[in-house]
Amino acid sequence: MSGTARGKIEMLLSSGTQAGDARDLWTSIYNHFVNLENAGVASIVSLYWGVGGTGTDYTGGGAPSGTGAFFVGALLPNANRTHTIYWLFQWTEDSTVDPGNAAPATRVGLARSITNGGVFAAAAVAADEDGNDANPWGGSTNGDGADSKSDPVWVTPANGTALYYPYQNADGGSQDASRDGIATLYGDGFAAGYADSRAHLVTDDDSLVVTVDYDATGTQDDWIWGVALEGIEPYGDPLSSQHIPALAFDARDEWFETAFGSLTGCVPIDGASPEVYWGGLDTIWQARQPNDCYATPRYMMRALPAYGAYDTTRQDASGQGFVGQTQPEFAAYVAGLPGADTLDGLSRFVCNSGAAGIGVAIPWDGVTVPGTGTTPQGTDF
Amino acid sequence: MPGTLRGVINQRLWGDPSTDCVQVAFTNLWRAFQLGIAAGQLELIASNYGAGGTGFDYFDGANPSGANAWFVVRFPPNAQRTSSMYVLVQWTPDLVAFGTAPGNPGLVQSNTTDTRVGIAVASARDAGGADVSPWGGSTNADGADTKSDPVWALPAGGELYLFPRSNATGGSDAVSAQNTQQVVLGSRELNGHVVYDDDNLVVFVEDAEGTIDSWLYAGRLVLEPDLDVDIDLWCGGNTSVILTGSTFGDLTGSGSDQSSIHLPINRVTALSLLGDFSFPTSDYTFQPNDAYARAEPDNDGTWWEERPITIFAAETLTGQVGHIDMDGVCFIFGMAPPAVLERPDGAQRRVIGTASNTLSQPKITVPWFSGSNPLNSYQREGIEVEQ
Repeated sequence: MSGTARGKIEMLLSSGTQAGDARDLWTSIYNHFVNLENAGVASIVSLYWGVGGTGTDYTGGGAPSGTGAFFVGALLPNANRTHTIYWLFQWTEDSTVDPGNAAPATRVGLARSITNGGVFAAAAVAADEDGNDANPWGGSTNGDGADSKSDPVWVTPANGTALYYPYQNADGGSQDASRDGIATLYGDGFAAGYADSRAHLVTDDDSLVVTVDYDATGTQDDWIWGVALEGIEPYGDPLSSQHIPALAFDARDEWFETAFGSLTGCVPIDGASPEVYWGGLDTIWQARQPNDCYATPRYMMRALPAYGAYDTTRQDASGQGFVGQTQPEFAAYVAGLPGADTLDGLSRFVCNSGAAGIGVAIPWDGVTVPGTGTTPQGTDF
Repeated sequence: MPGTLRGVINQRLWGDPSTDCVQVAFTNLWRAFQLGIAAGQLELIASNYGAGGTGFDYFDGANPSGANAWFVVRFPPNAQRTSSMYVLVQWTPDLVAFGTAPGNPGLVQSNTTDTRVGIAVASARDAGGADVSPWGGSTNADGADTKSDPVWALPAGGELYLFPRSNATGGSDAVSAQNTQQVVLGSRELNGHVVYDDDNLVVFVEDAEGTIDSWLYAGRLVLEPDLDVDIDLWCGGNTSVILTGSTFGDLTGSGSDQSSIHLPINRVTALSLLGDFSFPTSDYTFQPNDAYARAEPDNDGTWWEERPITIFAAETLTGQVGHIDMDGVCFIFGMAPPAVLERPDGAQRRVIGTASNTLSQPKITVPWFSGSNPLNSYQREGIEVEQ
């Protein structure tokens, strides 16, 4: 794992409306980035309070944000990573509002409709022509609640390279012109209508994951992440010679489908943003959990290998292959455990959309019992 | 790669009668190990020239080995591998039962069938956990050593690891621990190869097209974190294909595939299972890995990714115990034997498996030597290599 694990977990979204819950989830993500800024590992680059918004309060607060509010949070370089990761988070109260520059023009990642509000994310990393860290954010950076996006939203430095998530924002992608593609983290819930939701956000110095349980029953239904990758011996880091760090971005409405691949994720290869495919789903390993070769049988955790590949519709079908694996201390593949279960005391939390299939374990605070949070602010660690 | 890679590769194993084929294979194993013994990498523990034998020359040499000749070499522990690995190699010609004197007691795949080369592996710990010799026979290494009965001995209060599994408690050969795994059956023209380094031993035999006839691996097992295993070895072999997803071996020791793993908790030798750490989608979609080529334009874009072979206990306990050292044998998809690939660090790897099999079926890779064409230069003596 890269640096210190920090989180805002057990956020109970219970405003009574989906739009209100979208605002509250966005607000908590923003507040977590403020915490990261205070810890010296991130900075708030840009902030828009949204239409009619007067601040970043939660629903019912004195200065709440309005629809279309966004912020850009930068995970700053560190000893292991030379290039800044820029995250854009935005929320809307319905699918039709077009608050000028702030509309999430193209949503990807979820099959759910977004008629009653949602939360969305995009990310970018850039290098200049010399390979040095560069800023791809093209919008204003006053941080005063009145910032605006540029068009295109993200800008590749002259003669430089950039990684864009969602991958459709990158060269050859359908949103390449405005680079306004954005992935959906939270949208309409289930057919039964509104229900309280529960969300968790965990970061370390390089990686970020947000997961949402739509009806607060323990199964994590939607998620988004950008995770640092590491090499495996004897290959090391396949991307060590490129400027963009080895990262994988993805969003889904199910934790690890049985079919491999994703149309929403991407990894960097040579300054481009091909899709990410997740491998390593070993059925033998899955069937032998917990591992009773330990005196106390133990559920095992395993890194997820990431493969980069251009889809067949792209001009360049080359450049595909293994690019690294998740750091298992941050995001590890687990099997046989239901969603919201915990491992190693309360130090790992199981994200799983099913009862006991394939899931992912993320860091937890070692104290908080899942399902006990009662506020949208959640618990910080 | 740990230590110097040595071996004898590209051996032409041929003889009429087929006895000669087996005798050549046995002699080449002896010659291969002599390279490491001379360099101090291995230790010769015991040897017997066999019935009527006067040395370890080829059948037409001045001092050939005789029926049921055998020898034992030791791979000493090192900073990576805590357990010594004792390797017994034995052969018998046509019409002479495997395991008759002076190779007694002895079995190959739990049988006395003739015209075969068999290999067994053992390791032991004393009551205090120290690495000790499991070899129960004499140790003069003068061509006249004898086996004990049982062949491998359990130290008092200690632990004993045995390959094949049938030699251990509950196995058909547990009383005398005399079983071996067949690595050569002398029935036709074959190509043989022996390679090893400080931690890994690979013996494999193919036909002229590169289809695997038999293979055996013995070496370091990279253990799962916090798993309390004393003997960090995995041994396995097969006389045909690479198997995954089913238990590898049997308690009778008679099957064409055998394996052994040392268990934590109850400290016994057990059967094992190879994981199916698969590549995504159609197994070889992502081979070769040209993400490297995109990232590093100077390379030739032909880097092929291997995957570690995960090892599971599959008997009294179940669960992943570790994976085979990637410098030993690995899974690979999308390549067919007898291909040679180069890792990003320049290390050479040889692909073995079934040549006619589909590319989506897993093959294994083994250490190889740069500049060694797998299809050329076959001769009885093979090519002695050190690298």
